Amino acid sequence: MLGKYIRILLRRKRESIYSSLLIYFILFALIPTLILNFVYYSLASKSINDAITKLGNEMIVKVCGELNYFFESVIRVGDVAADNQHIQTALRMDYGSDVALRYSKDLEMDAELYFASFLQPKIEGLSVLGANGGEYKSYDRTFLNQVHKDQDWYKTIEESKGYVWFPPHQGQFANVSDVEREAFVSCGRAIIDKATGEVNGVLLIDINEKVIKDIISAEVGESGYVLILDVDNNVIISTIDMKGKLIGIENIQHSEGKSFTIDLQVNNGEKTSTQSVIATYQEIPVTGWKVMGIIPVKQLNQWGNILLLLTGFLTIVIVGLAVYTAVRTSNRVTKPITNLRLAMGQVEKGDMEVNITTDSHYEEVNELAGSFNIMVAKVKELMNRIYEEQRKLRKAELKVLQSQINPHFLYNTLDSILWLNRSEKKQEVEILVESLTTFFRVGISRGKDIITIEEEVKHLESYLRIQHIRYGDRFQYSIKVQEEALGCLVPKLILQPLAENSIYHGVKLKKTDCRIDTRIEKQGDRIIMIMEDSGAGMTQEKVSLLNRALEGEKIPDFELYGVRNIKERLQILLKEDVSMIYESREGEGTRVTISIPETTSEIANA
Amino acid sequence: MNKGLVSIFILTIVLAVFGCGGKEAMIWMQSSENDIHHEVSDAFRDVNANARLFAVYEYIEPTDIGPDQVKWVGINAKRPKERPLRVGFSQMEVNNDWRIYENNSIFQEAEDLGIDIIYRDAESSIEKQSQDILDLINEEVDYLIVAPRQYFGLEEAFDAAREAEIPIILIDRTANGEAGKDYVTCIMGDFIDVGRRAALLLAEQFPDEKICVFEVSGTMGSSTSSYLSEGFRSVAEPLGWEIISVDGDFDRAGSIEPIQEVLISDRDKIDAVFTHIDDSAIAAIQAMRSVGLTPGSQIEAGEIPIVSMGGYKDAMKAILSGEMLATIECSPRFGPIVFHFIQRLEESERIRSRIVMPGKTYDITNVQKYIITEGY
Repeated sequence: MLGKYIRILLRRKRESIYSSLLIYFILFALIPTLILNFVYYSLASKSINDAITKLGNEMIVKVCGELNYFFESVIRVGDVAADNQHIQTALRMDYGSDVALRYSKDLEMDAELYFASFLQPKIEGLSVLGANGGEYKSYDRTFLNQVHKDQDWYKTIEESKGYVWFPPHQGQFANVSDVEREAFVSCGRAIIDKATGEVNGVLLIDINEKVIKDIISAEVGESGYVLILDVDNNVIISTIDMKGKLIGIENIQHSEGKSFTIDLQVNNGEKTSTQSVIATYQEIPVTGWKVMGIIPVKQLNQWGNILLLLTGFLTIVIVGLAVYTAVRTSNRVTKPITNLRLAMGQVEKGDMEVNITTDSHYEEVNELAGSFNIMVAKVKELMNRIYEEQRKLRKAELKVLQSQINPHFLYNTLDSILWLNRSEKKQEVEILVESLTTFFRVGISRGKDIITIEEEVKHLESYLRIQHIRYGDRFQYSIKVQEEALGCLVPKLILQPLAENSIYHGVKLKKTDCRIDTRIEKQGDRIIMIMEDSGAGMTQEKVSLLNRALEGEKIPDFELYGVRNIKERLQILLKEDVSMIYESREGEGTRVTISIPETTSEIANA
Repeated sequence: MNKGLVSIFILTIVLAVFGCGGKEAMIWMQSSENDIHHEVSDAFRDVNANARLFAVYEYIEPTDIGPDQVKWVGINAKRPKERPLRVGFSQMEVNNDWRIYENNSIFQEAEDLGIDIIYRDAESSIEKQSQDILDLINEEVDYLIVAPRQYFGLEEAFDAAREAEIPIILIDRTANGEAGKDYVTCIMGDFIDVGRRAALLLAEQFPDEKICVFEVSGTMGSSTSSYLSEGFRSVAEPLGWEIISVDGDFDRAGSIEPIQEVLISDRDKIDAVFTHIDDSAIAAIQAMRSVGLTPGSQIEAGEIPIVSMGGYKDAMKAILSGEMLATIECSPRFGPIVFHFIQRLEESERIRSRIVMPGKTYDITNVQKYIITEGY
């Protein structure tokens, strides 16, 4: 899904490298960061939740254990006091109207209870209220001026078997207390006369609510709170001044000692408030009350929010850095490319003088710029070379053409035609005219540079025929072309100038019967053209100079008779290994051998 | 008893005639007679409805300061009359039921009169009490009731109150400062007189004898204990009594141990016991029983008489059962008295800068009459 979207995003129209780089960079930074942060957030928040819940469970077990231990010790104090022989005796007495005796006993028993109360110093005090009017207490809090036997709490305790636990109530049941500011948990039991088995008084132990709050608060962290619930799920003590009845937790009886999430509904008589919490509870065996640990989900969320804030902040920082880096990097990468593009634009317009700097941060871009510079230089050089070659080629061709249509040759030929015509040698005239026609046709060759050997030979033959007629029997000629070589391609106008040289510098000087033999054959992929005359020949020195000049050496005041043109044209057109070698012996003749590679049609058409 | 009835009759008549005149009705009374304490205190109890009768308190002359140092002081009440009074109450500590009674009395009276109380408990710390008073001043109360923990240490708080023009009324103990300037008045028992009366009670039991008295003091250095000792010695020293003193800290559980130590080391010497508070008296009874001594009033039978100050129900029980000789009332019921004088100040009347809480002597002759109504 995401990939698809990204592809669509990336595919949209054409775009600049800069923006693609930017998008990729940001996406590559953003997606892993988001994924990592998401994973981190979920793992961390889960482990925090687990840790808090576990801590909560352990805490409640501990608080419950401590409370139970405390209540058990209170019961032990009660048992000690109720079974005390002096108390038993005092409660058994009938004081009648002997107030002095009763009061004396009161003070005596006060001392007994005073020492009994040492068993658990955390209790506020214990009182024994006898059916016979005796009232004994362990501490200095005076008894209220009331008939204890008529009070509800007295009756409740009297009727009960075992201990009765009263949830916190303002003030003490039997003693003077600060009703406004003091609350007490009371625990009572009936005292049974061991002699008669009758109930002859009740024992009351008062525990300041603060003591219990201290026990439950000691373990409570900042994140949650602890409630003590009575059997009807009324909140009787809490670390956060919560009052009321918890609704809807009857169904969770089976999950004692486990954490559960619940919408805690508290009805304080007027209205019901609801709070989403994680709770765990444990029953206090002695009292049947429940200790419930509560962690508001809001509180957990707060931890989550802190985490979220942290990861969010991290994400923003990383993405910010990524965007910054992306912009920087994209700039650095694309700037030289932009420069390159601008330079290319210059080149497109024909400005070959462009040179771009190669001081970029990136090696590749530097190489690219370097290559570009080299390329532009090469192009420039090539263009110059081509220009030069073409110039030379055209110049050479022009020279050849010029030589062919030189007025002297044309005049001599036409003059020969005239004389032959006058001598009525019609057949020779015809041959001469036809040869001249062929000579010019091939020489022009519709502008082509490369022609077949067959045509080249036709051209040579037409020339030799013309000259032969003109010079009569002063020379004989032969042309032998290997069958396979006929179709091969060669640059045009190679052979005719050679023949011209043979005639003007060889045959003409010797004045006796000479031969001009031309032989063309294909040897492998090379074509060998040999022209041999038996004319005047050249001195060894001259031949050597000629060959050196053909190799490119510049020799001043040396007449080359156009052979240099031939070699140049061969070299320009064939671009490959071309050789042209003269051999000669003075008075015997001259031989020129041209070896060229077989020319492919591509070059021919170029 | 007859004399008492006559006195209260006279008082009632006098007040009926002059009472409306307030401070003009000056009748100076002698405070040294025990009867006066009974009658004033009984009048307070019996005719509670007529708060005017509290005026008689002003005519018990204190012995702890000279009569010439007692001034008439008043305040300029600036409170708009429409709203109920707001009174700050700085209690020093609530570590025994005397203090609980004192608190309950003040709260009950304030509720009856429709006065708002703002309460602070200093938890036995003079520093906290000073801060508490400053807090109450910030709450802009109309009056401050202060039960000072110690004599020194509230000077800064008094200065702040004076600056804020909030009148302070000290109860049950005094503190460093000038009445009429730092505080309006101090309502407390005349403890020198109480100490003196306690010594006289013992002197009655041991006529012409040089006895050894075991004194269980309250918190050593508190004004109350100092005054009690001073008063007691003012009688005992001329008679040549030997006095052994320990610190009982006004605490029942805390005083048992020091009492026992002395009883063990000096058991043959001790003829009588004087305790500064009933808590210590009860502790002394228990301690004596433990070491094999018999507390009681039968001196011929070798019993050791105990006199104390207080009025605890427990002490009354001990008197009634013959285990204690007597105790001199030190009432924690400050509520009606304090608010009576606050209301007088509100009406722009002037009151005395030292008001003595009267204290009855409870002994075997009268304790049964008072145990239910007056015991605490």
